[in-house]
Amino acid sequence: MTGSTAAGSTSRTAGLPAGATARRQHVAGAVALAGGTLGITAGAVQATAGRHIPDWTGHKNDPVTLGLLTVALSLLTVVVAVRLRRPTATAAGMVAAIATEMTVTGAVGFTTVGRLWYLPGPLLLAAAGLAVATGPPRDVAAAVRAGWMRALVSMLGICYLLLSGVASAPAATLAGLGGFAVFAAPWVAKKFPRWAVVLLVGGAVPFAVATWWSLITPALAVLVVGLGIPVVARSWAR
Amino acid sequence: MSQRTEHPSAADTPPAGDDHAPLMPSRRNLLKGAGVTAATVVVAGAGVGSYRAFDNGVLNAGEGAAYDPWRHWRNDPGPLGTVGAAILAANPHNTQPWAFHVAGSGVDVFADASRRTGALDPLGRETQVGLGCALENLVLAAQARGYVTRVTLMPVPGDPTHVARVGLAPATIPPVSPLYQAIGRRHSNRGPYRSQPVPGEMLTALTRLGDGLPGTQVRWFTGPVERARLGALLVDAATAIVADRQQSVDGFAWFRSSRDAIDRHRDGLTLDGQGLSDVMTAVAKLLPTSSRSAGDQFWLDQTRTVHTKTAAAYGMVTVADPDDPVQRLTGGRLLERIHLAATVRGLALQHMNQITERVDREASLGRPASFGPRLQALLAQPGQRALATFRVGYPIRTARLSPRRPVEDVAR
Repeated sequence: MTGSTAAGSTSRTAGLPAGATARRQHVAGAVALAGGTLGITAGAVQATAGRHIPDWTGHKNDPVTLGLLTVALSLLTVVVAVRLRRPTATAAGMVAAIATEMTVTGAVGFTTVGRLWYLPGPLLLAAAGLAVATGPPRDVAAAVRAGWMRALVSMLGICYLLLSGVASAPAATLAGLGGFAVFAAPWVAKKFPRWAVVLLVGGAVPFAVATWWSLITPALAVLVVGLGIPVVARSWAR
Repeated sequence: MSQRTEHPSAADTPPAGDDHAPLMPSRRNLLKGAGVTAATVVVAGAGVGSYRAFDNGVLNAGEGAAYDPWRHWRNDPGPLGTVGAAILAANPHNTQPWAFHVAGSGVDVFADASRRTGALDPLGRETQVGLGCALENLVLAAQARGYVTRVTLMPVPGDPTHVARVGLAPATIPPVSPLYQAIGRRHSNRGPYRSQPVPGEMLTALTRLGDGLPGTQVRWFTGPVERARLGALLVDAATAIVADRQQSVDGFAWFRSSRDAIDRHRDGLTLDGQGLSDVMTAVAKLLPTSSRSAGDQFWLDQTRTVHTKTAAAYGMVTVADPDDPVQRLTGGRLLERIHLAATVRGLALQHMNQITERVDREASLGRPASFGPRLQALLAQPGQRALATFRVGYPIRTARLSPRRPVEDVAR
């Protein structure tokens, strides 16, 4: 991190005045806000009318669940977009996290609501790029490097969340809860190391056991435990 | 993690305060970088696998709108409800080659010419047998709803697409047939069967289902020698179909290899319907979509190692003239009755039409008949000819649902 922290201003100013960074982030946030709002609309249309307009919504097997998943992800995007639009510049680590969220939502939507995502999807992906470009990429890259392994574990949690959208009812609950647990585990490890391990194992194993025959979920569970425990242990050691 | 701490040599340590000095990565950093890269690649692979599982229905086989007709077929108590039962009938390659016109006084059944299987069914035999199967379900459903039915086959001379008219007249509600109850549980089971033989009295009971369906008979193949001979002919026919490019192409056109295709078309053959174990089905869905030639080879292997190897008995519905539409429809009704009755008795059944597909293909091309005489010799029933072939046995695995188009898509 090369930026200096000025009171009431920014932690990320190297190469750019704090005000300029904040203004650019404000623009990126506005684009994300538009994409997120349209995404909520697209998800709501999928959930309520997806079955009647399948050519537009991708002929989905379960439009209600996928629509609600899209609404949830888009809501999260709106929240982070608002965060990005604060008057003060956002720190590099947070920008990286926000850009990741926008990228994931922007990509996932293409498979949940069909053609309805043709507008919000590119907007969100563009917003992610704008967010990263608002300041020195070196700062963002450093922040990404610092949290990369934790991000990988969280990506496995996102895989669980993705599968929760198509699993049958009891397994879907396990996948949903497990996904959130795995996603959160590496980020709470520093303060709650034991709980982080519980979240990893408790999040990954039940869904894998319930759907062992699918092969992909046991493989995910092995990865979560095999990758997550060392990551958590390292956070703990720090 | 400082190089200075780990490797205090001057060679490893960049000059203090010089951010741009060339860095020689230490072995530890190299290993760390390799580890992070490997973890990234593995997680990316897991992401791809998860997306494939998400997109191809690994976790939700048999669920969703494409399968809803299996769950709601009893809901409508009126004449339209009979169509809900009819669309669950056995039919060639799950093409669902039917359309229905429902009026208060009856239901008309039509062939949908756009849903033929081309070179696999050049003479329309399988289509009409499938329509006969649907007709049988429709009649059972009408009776269960308290109607007396009057069936007229090919009611309009000169209109080959109008295959049946089922007149409905109110009557007292009779006891519901167990065959009707089995409509929602009847599926083609392409998995392995147990070695346990099917009792003779059970086959006799299935044969009696042809009573009231004039001109139809059933020929059973239960002995090891005749089963082996028929099995060999089935494998030969499958081999010939795979070698016949047009038949292979026309068959593959009805294979739905992705969940998107299933949800879009709601017809055709699927990986779920191949009788594989849960694990193998998941593997097949996670792997890239197979090519036509790979699919052909899979079918041929399954025919050799599963379908013919584990058949407890073969059955053949026979008629005097398999080219006559009325006899095809009547034979189809018997075939459906047998499948429903087998379901009631816990038997699995798989339709195996490759021999007659080759017979009709050779006839349509004007080639010398090679499969017809062999089939006739096996049948050994003077005056009767094979219409449709199937195998029966006690299943090892439960058959999965096949996708179906909803009533509103086929009724007018």
